[in-house]
Amino acid sequence: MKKTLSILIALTLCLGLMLPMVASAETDVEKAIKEAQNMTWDELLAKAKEEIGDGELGIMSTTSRVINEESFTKLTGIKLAEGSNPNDSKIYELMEGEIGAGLYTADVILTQDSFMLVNKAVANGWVLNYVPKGLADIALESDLNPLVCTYNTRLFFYNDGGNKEMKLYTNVWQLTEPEFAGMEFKNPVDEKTSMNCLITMTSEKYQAKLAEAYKEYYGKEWVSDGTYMNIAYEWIHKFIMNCTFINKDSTIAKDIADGAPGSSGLFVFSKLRSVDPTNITCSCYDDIQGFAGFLYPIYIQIAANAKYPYTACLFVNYCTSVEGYTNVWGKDMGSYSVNPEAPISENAKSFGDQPLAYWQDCAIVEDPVHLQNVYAFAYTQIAMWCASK
Amino acid sequence: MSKNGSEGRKSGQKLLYRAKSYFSVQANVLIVLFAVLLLVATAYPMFSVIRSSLTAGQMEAMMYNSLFSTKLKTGDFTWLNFKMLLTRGTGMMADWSVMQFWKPLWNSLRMSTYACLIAILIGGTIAFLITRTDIRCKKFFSSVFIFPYIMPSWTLALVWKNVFANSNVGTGVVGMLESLTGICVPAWVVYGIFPCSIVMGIHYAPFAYILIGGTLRNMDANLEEAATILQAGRGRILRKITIPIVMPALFSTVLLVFSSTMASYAVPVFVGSPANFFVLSTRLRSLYEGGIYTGQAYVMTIALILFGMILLGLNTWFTGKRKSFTTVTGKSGQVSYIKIGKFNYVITVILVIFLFLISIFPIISFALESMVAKQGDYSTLTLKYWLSRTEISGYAVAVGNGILFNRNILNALWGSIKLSLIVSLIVGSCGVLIGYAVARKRGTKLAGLVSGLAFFPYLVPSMAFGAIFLAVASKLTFLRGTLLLLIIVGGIKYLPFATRSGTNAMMQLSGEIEEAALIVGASWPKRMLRILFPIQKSAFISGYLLPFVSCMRELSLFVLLTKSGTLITTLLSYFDEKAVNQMSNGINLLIVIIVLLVNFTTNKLTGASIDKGVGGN
Repeated sequence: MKKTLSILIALTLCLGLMLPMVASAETDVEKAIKEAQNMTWDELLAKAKEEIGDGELGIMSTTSRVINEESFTKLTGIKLAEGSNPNDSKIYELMEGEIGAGLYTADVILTQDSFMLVNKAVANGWVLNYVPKGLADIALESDLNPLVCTYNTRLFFYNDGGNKEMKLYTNVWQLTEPEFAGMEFKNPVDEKTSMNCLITMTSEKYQAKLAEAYKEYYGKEWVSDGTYMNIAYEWIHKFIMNCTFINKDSTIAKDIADGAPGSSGLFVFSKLRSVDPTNITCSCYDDIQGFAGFLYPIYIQIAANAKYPYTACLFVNYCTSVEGYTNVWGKDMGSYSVNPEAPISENAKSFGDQPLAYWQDCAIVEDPVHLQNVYAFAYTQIAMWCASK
Repeated sequence: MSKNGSEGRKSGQKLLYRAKSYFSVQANVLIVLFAVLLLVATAYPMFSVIRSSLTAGQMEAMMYNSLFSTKLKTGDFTWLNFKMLLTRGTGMMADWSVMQFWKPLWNSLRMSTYACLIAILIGGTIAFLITRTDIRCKKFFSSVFIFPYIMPSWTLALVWKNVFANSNVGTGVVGMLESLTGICVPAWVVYGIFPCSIVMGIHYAPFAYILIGGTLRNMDANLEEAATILQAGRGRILRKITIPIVMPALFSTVLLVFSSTMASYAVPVFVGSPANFFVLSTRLRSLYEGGIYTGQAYVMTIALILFGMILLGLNTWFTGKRKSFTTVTGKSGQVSYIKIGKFNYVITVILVIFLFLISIFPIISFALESMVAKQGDYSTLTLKYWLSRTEISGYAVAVGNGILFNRNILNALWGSIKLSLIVSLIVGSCGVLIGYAVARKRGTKLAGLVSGLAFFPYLVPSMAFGAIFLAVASKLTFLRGTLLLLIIVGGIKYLPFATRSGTNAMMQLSGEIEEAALIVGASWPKRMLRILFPIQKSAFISGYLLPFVSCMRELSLFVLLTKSGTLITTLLSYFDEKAVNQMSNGINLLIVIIVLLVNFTTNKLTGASIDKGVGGN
């Protein structure tokens, strides 16, 4: 009896010791990512071709630009499967329902919303991070894990009625005043990148910017009267109450383009592509004190159960390369590569667009670290204000 | 012992005999079969909704732990979703329940009530004019009145906005009315509860028209004639005979329109939100898609289901209370039309103008918008968006060739047609059988159960329904991404349409007709196919056509279950999102044309159609 018991205990201990080893065993995808990180483009291309054969790489992306992108196929000869372009909430739902259940959904995933990415997709192991060789040397460290593919801008615009000298507003605090009531904006509860940027505003860095703008506009220091936790909450509350919620950025762009002089809105820069921009002015850094809008990341990740991990890594290499950015995003305004060597296009410049560094200085940049600290309170408070309109 | 054994055998035999006898009646077989099938098909979604409302999701656990200092883990049981959404909180959360739930609920109830009244008023009046009076142009009215239901409701909201927007509202975009007449309507006409109710009312008026009209057309004229002989006035006949007879249809209309409006999302977002008019469905979608407080979205889903169930209960109570709604006895084929004399011309003209505005004008608008190179500038009309055989440029995304030569659009269109046809065939046939079984077993608990269960899917918002079946497909992996999954989801979701029309039609049929056939020895299939179906053909066909129409223009239900290029509506949504206006308007027009073609073909092949079913011939 004693002998049996000691064998059982010994077996249990052995199993107990082995379990962490089993749990931490590297998957094929992790192994491929580790290898790919040290491969050159040509080495990775050869490996990817060998891996995928006649197969097709699956992409699920919040941005339509990479879906069915032909330039990648032209360059590599690797075919892309019919892409899927759901919005962010659906991407997370699909990741949970499919990758979470061990089912293949795509090889590469491009998504927004750093809070959900970190706390759901990464925390549950649905996606894996991969940084192409060489990119770590030139990109900002904060953009590498999880890897940012591009940044996008959502900016203040107004209809100038053709008068390019018009300066409708020069300070963000004006946007909280009754004369600017009706500024169009997508409900941040429905648009998580806006919600995240509003929450980011509550960080000390942006509180300082808001305080400076407050002093400039009202001629006095901001002093808390106990109503708001800090100056950022006051701006957010008053701005939200002043806004008109419209459900799509493209509709806001159209409303401003076709609207009366003086009408204004906060929408994604790239939506200017869809409207006649003749009468639209972008209120960027030179014009407006405080901040010019929001800058938010689009992340690129490898699905933890990717069918073709080497090919997925190759696609990430392409998207973060100068050539890939130029072919996929570089034609238009409003998207900026995480690769500092990739310049914005002449076409984008003609719309007044600026390089990433410019927007990083004058826009509110979504900050995953700050989000992590204050999310529950800030999200609920802002969602509450949005509902109480 | 042996005595007991023999008694046991006897009671066993008795039970077997009873079962045999019970199942020898076709209606009993059908009612048991559908009770089992529907229990299986509806139990999982309901269970899933309740479970999600009572457990902490990953994000919720994080939020609640931070806000309320709880120690919840993902998947833990919690009442917090209910508590936070339904009861008054403290501090920052004081008004959460009022703003997120109670106020939007009140708005939803108001909007749905107004939409019901408008739908019944418009649909019922037109149905009455077409079926019971000698008004002119019946065929035209009957044909075009179904258009608003064929079009996705949000496109009607868009047309509303495009017509009434003016320089005094919002960003001052000048709408059609102002540019043509200089008239600026007040802001409450453009945005808020008024346009939401009107648009929903117009969108669902064809429901009232189809259901009330079907009953009126099949009404036994002897009843009215008898009243006329007894010198009852027109008003008295209407109050005492006509309205009581159309009551089941009226209740069905209220049930369908109220539930649909309560769950509708797109219209309140388009013409409600800009005036800060928020309803339960918009809040539900925000919470659900926000991915943070999804459990509370499920609580809202339960609230919507409960409201539907109350209405359903009232409906069942009412139809069960009345001994008979039989209108088709087989004894009279005569219909006497009310002569409206000198008002005929005036009413006809008013109707023509009205129907032009709600049915024809939106279609013209889609056609024009699909052909202008620059929106709003009609001097730039071109057919290239329809006929180009080469890639059309100028958009932010690749759109391919013109609509008629665009492989992606044609594939998606075929995908939708295939799905809608299969769903409507399955659902329509089930509706007839369920209708037959429920009508024959009326008053029994089983009939009430089947009737209720068949309607249940209608009460679950499409979005939540899609998400539930995504979870089903992750377990039954052979269903993932297949047409079969879409058929199952569409079939269950649209069963209520067919069941309602099937039950209404069967309820109107006197049992004597089938009994007569039974006496002469006609088999059950023969009785169904040769007698019952032909008599109520128009009502049954609408049970096939309504799921077809709904399926053709459905988006929320399928969007999680398939890729954007599979169905025409998912592709439409993609183009709309990317502001490819010409393509999205063109696709809208295509959907309307396809549905009309199917209606026309059905009419030519079977002699029945949605509109003819209510007296358009």
